[in-house]
Amino acid sequence: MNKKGDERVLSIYLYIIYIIVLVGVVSGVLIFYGSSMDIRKAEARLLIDKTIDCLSDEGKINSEVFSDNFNFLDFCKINLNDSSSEASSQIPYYLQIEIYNSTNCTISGKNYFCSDSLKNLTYGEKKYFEYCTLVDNKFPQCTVKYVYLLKDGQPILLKIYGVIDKYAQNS
Amino acid sequence: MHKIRKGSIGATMTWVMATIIILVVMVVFIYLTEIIFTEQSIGKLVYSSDKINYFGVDSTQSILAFLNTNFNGKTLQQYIQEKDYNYIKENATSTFKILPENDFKNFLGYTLIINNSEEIEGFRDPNSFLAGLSGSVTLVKSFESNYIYFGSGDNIKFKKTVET
Repeated sequence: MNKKGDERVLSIYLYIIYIIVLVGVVSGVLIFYGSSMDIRKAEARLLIDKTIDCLSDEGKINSEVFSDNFNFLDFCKINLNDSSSEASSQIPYYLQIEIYNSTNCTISGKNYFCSDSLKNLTYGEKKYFEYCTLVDNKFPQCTVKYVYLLKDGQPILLKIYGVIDKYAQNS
Repeated sequence: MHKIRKGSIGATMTWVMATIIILVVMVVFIYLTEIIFTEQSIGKLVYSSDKINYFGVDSTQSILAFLNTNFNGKTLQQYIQEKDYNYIKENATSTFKILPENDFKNFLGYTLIINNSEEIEGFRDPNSFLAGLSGSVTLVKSFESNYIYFGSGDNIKFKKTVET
């Protein structure tokens, strides 16, 4: 009998299985952790939430917002400069706060159409705002939120856009 | 010529089958990993936790503003405390329809439902948001049933209307 020869032939399958399992596990780990995660939408939502939290209290907008020398970034202690090593010299954020008299607003789906603007504040790189109509991960990511608030007892609507570029850090 | 023995054929077939089964299992594993990764994004994770764990700051401020909105000299909260539901139905519903709901896809607005017989406690579920407002007005947002409840003894409900 040639028992040794049989075992040598069969051991080839054993090594093939080892290789398959190794390739499978390594591929799975690489697929899961190797690809990038795009957190820009979440970051934009957090920026907007921070803005809402800063500008409103118990459903009322802070009256400071309507003063002529109002500086949102100082008031809310928000720094739009990116301190990460990959950051270029330009600001990777854009924030737009539109305030309307809500009695002149109509709703269509998730969109509001308002005509009576009370104030419009913009901070950061304005060119990113153009990308709010485009859906592609290569472009800056845009999020919009609406908030119903009171100003001196009168209803107003805040429309807040947050746009984050940071493509290099999220690709 | 070597003689092929029955025992070695059986052993070889076992290994071949084992290899095929392991190969299939690994392909399924890699495929599932790919699917899980595609579904997983930070944005979606935050979105789902928004819905389950807490009432967003935008929704909270909007609801508080709505309850303090003045309708003919009195706030909505006062009408709820006085149980003047007909006035709310006639005057406040149109305002409530424009309240934003940022976490809700295809949101169309709210419908006011007044039901005096049901207790607000009965609508609570583990994922609901509960806020005690001044003047004993209670606010419950149920994520499972898509209702917002205001209660002051009796119970009035605002149902979210969603495009299907």
